[in-house]
Amino acid sequence: MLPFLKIMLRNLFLGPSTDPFPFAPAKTHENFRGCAVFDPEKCILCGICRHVCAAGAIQLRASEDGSGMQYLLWHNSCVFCGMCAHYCPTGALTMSNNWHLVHAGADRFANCISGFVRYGECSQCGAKIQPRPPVIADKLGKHSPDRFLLCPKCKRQSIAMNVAQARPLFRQDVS
Amino acid sequence: MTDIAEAVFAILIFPGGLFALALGLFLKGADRKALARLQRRVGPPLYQPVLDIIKLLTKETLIPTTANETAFLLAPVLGLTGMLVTAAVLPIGGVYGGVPGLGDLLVLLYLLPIPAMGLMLAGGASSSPYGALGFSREMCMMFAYEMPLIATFLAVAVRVGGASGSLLSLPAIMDYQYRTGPLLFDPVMLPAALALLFFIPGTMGHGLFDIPEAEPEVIEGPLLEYSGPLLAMFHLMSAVKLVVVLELAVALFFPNPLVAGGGGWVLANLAWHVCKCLVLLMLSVTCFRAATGRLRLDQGFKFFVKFTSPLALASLGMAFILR
Amino acid sequence: MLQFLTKLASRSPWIYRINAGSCNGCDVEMATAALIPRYDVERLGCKYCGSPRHADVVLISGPLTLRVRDKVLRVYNEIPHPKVTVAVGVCPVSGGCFRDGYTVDADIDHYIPLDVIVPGCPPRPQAIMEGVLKAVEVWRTRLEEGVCSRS
Repeated sequence: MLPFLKIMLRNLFLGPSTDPFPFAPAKTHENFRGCAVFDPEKCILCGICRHVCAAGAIQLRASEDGSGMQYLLWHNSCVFCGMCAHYCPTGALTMSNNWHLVHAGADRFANCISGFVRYGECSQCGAKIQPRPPVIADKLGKHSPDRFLLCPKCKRQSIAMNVAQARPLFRQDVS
Repeated sequence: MTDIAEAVFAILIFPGGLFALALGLFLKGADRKALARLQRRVGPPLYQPVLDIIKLLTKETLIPTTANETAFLLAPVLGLTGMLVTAAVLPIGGVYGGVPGLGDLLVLLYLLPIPAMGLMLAGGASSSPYGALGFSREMCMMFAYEMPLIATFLAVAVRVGGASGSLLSLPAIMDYQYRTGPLLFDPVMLPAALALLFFIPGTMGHGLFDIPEAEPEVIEGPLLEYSGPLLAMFHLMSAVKLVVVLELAVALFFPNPLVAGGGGWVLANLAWHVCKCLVLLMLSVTCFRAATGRLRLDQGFKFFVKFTSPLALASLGMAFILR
Repeated sequence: MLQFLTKLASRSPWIYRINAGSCNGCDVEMATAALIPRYDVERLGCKYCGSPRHADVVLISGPLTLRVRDKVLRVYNEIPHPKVTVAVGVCPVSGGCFRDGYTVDADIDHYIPLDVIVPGCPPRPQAIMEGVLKAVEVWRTRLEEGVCSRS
């Protein structure tokens, strides 16, 4: 009891050390891992985020008319681990530092982020391919830009024409 | 007729009843606020206990099916009315002379255990094992802290009585202190004052002696099954008990008012009395709560038997020898 | 007058924590939100009470495991009305990282109506305080309805 008297007197002089929240905004570090943010413009529908998600919070559902996929991330199942943002190759999924996610119980299934990602189109035959957002086109398509926007069938044909050019079967001087 | 009217006024308005309730809730709020400041927190507003009581009146009352319903409902009523009567009987220096014939140390010795009895009855009537545990702990602690209380009473009585025997009447003890100075500054009575300082948190169940209502151990003990207005009555009982115990300590050791005789100085004397109660509260309850944890039951018992009772008995012995 | 009294009554919410099979991460955050000087929740009038009979706001954490389900329901029924339920963390709603496990009986809402949800794994102490504040608002409307319907 007696050694504590010094601490008590010191506490009286130092005053309260309480954070002023909720009467003033709370300090949030910019590296704080809050909820996820999805950018449909950059998504290539690889599905890595769905594969690594620790809690199974991410769903990719094909739309009925077949023009794209619906991306859904349910905040009430997300454990904010950040693996999806770490593994996303294009940076479509990032972790913001927003933690003000309190909501009423009735809204628990509406508390999700969703985005519609449209399929890309093959520049030759018009078939549906995975989307090719500009950020990917600049990074990966530099090597052979004309082949980058083709569907797999057209790409195979293009490679075959490059590799195996038409050659005459017989030598020219045979007559 | 006027006696009955005066008695009713004393029990319902001043100094029992509304005054004791208001003072008790204010002291409890001050204790919580001071505890928070000692722990470098902001703490609740001073009138927080009043809000607690108002909130408890809006909850529904649940009674366990296997509980003894009469005893369950009777326990808080018994405790609260007993404490209100006790508060009406205690004299305040310069303000209120007490009820003649009832301001006696023996009467107080009968009236002071009533809240503990209320808690014990509550624990027993709850038909829950935690309630029974709380009941036995409360009984054990009551035996423990009554010892220094009785020894202090006897020490004060013998000291005040002097050569002509002992004086048990509180107004007479206070008159002696008006004449020869407070007993707090009397070196013979200092050990008894220290014993009473430890008695206050012991009987209130705070700090070191939060044994019958220990939260992690017996989950609120006797009060486990209470909810709503009955729990509000228990909290009010605890508040009035705090007032009674502090006023008793002040009356025994330092009742001197600012200006003796009452009259126009009644309000000043009352304010001085409240200040004294507040300072005693901070010293005895708040500092203990901030600095210490909780003792085990046997450690608490041994503390009272081995440490505080010898102090009070030493005072009694010296007063006896020097009379 | 009665409305003023209910407004006063809602300024002392007493909190009771139920651990429905949680990993204790959320329980640690709940303990810090109340007790440590930095996030003092007692200035809002809150107090952690030891008995469910004394509680107003119930904080539930953890996915409802099969072993603990009946006991949690039993303790929940002991809390007197009016009460508000707050689910702390994502486990009570979906199971969190324990989702689809063989011991987990997630979505407590089948058994206990949830009023406020605080997502996070574990949520920040300030987020838990936000949740408690929202629960107090819900409680205030419930008190006013109860009082007005009685009078």
